Formats: sequence, structure tokens, C-alpha cells
Amino acid sequence: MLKRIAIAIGIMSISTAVFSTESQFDSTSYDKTKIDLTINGGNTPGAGGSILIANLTDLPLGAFTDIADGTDIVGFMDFCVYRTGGGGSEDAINYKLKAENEHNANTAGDAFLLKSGNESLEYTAKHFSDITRGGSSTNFVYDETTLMDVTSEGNGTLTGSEASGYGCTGDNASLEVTVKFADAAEAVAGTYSSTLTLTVEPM
Amino acid sequence: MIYRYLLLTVMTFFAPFALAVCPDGENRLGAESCVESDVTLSIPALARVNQLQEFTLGEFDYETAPQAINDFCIWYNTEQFAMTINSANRTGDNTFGLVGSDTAERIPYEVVWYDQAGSAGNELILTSLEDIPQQQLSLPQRPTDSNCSTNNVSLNITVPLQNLEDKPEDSYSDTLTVTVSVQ
Repeated sequence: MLKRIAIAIGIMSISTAVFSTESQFDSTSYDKTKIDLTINGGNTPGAGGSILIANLTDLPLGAFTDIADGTDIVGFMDFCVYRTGGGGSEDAINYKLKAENEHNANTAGDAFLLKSGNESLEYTAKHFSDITRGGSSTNFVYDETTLMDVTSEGNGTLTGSEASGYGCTGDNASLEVTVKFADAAEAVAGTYSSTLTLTVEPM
Repeated sequence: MIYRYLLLTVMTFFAPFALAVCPDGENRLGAESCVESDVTLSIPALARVNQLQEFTLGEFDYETAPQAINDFCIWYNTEQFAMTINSANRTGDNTFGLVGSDTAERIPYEVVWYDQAGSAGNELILTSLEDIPQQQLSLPQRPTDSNCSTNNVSLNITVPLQNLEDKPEDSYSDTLTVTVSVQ
């Protein structure tokens, strides 16, 4: 959009240059005015533009009841990433996504943790830069150097149509979490939960 | 004052677990943006019994008490469950019994539970339709393989010699039903 505005102003300057003097009485007269537009990227706009992640709601995985089928428990939730001045197939958004888990990961490898009292249940998470989850995904990998948080980073490029809109009126990315069947079968009965926080910044 | 120290101690203890997530709030346009999602999975109390095969006591030789052992699998994810073994030929005294073609001829038999495969570990003499709580079954460790690919308990069936006295020639049988139920 900024490019289009700049081009429009440029054309106006060229077309007015053929007239002799501004604001003069003549057979033709012209005057100029300056038009200012600020695109403010929120309270704390970044150097690479401002970015927004939204529409990610709670992700219920349901109940583990089929103890014999061996199928992993998989759930997903779509969300939106929007960046000022970017988006769409012509101007893809490059972003960095960080996932944090509220629980102490200990030495749980690449897994996040669901908790039920003192019991823990591992799960993994990854994200897709589309809502069909048909493209390549990025796994959130546990940072072994971070002892308290499960923090990981993944890069994504959003080219969906929604990214070319203004704000997040739809979704263009997806979060997928998986609890392995064997882990669920080993777990003590209970309701396991965890808060996963995604933070996005432009690249 | 002591309450302040107590509060400080509590805050210090829990501080590593209370991460400052989305410090500026969720869904805000800015240099970075943050959102939270609660992931939940419910695992209800479940139990399973599997791999129990038929007991073949063979033909009585008039010398040895007929006996058979079967390994099978019990899986559970809660300590709150009980096992019940029921005999199709159970009588009012809750004994197990084999019955021939003449249903009036009944041969009582004994059932012994072992908390490991191969009649190993702790044993428990059972009576039919008795609810045996998990604590009494005393499995050495909670099974984790819900597919029950490995047997972890066993039953031993024995027909005492004295119960076979004066029994007519016939084929005797019973159906045992093992039920595990969460509570």
C-alpha cells in the first residue's frame, strides 16, 4: 500500500510540473497541498513493521478412551499472523515464532508438558504456515539451554490471502500438538492441561 | 512480619513456574505479538483384562489333582479398581464348580491368583464373585502397556482330589469371567 501511495504522489508531481507558477492568476491556475498519512503499527511498532498474532483459542484434545488402537492423539488450532506492509503472495511475511510452555520441562527432550497435579504427560507441537496443514511444518524444539522454559523458534512464510488484508479477520497459520499413544497409555488417569504461549516477531 | 517472610518464601518457590507470558497482553499489534492457548487432555480411569486363554485340565488319572495355569494381562491407569472372577456354575457359597452333563453333579475347584506371570509372586486364594480391590491384588508395578503385549498376572486352577471322589465318568466344565472395573 505504501508503494502505491508513493507512486500516486510521484505521478501528481509530474503532471503539475507543466504549469508555470503556483497560485497565480492566469488562464489556468493551480495550487498544491500536502497529504500526510501515517501507518502506525500499534503502541510499539518495530523496525521491520508491526506484527500481530491472533485468533488462537484453547485446544482441547478430548478424552483418551481407545486404549488399544495405537493412534496418537492429535489436535490443531488455526490462528492468524498479520504484519503491516506485508502479506499475500506478492509480499510474503517472514516471521519468527516462539513457543513457551508454563511448566518446567526438566529433561523432557523435545516435548512440552501437560500437567495433572504432580503427574506429567509429554506432548510435541509444530506449526504450519497455512490452515490446510498441507505444507511443510516447523517443529518447536526444546531448548536444552533453557532449564525453566520450553522455548523454541520456528520460521514461517505466510502467503495466504488473509495475510494481505488489514488485521486478522481470518486465519492463515495452524498449530498442531501431538500426544503419543504410548505416553497416554502410561499416564495415570486425570485431566492434563498446559498453557502454550506463541510469540511472533517479524524477520 | 512472619507472614511477609512466609509470603516471600512462597513467591520465591513458585516464581520459576509462573512465567511472565504475554506481558503486554494478547492479540496486540506491535514489534512482537503474543497469544496463549490452553491445551487439555482428559484421561479417564480405565482398566483392561486381556489374553486369558482356556484352562485345559486334561483327563483325570485318579492319582494327581488336575491343575492348570494361565498367564494373562491386566492393565490399568488408576489405583481405584477392583477385580472380580465369576464362575458360571457358582453356587450360594461362592465356590467355583465344574458341572457335567448331569448338572446335579458338581465338582468344586480352587482358583489362586498370582500377581506375576508363571504363578510367581504373591498369591491370593479367590472365591467367586468376590470384589478384590487393587491394593489386595498387589501388582508389583503399574502396567504401562495398554496393548497388553506382555502378560503380567496368572491364575492357577486346581481340583482337589477329595472333590473327585465318587464322581461319575463325564466331561465337566465351567466358564470363568474375569472382570476389572474402575471405581
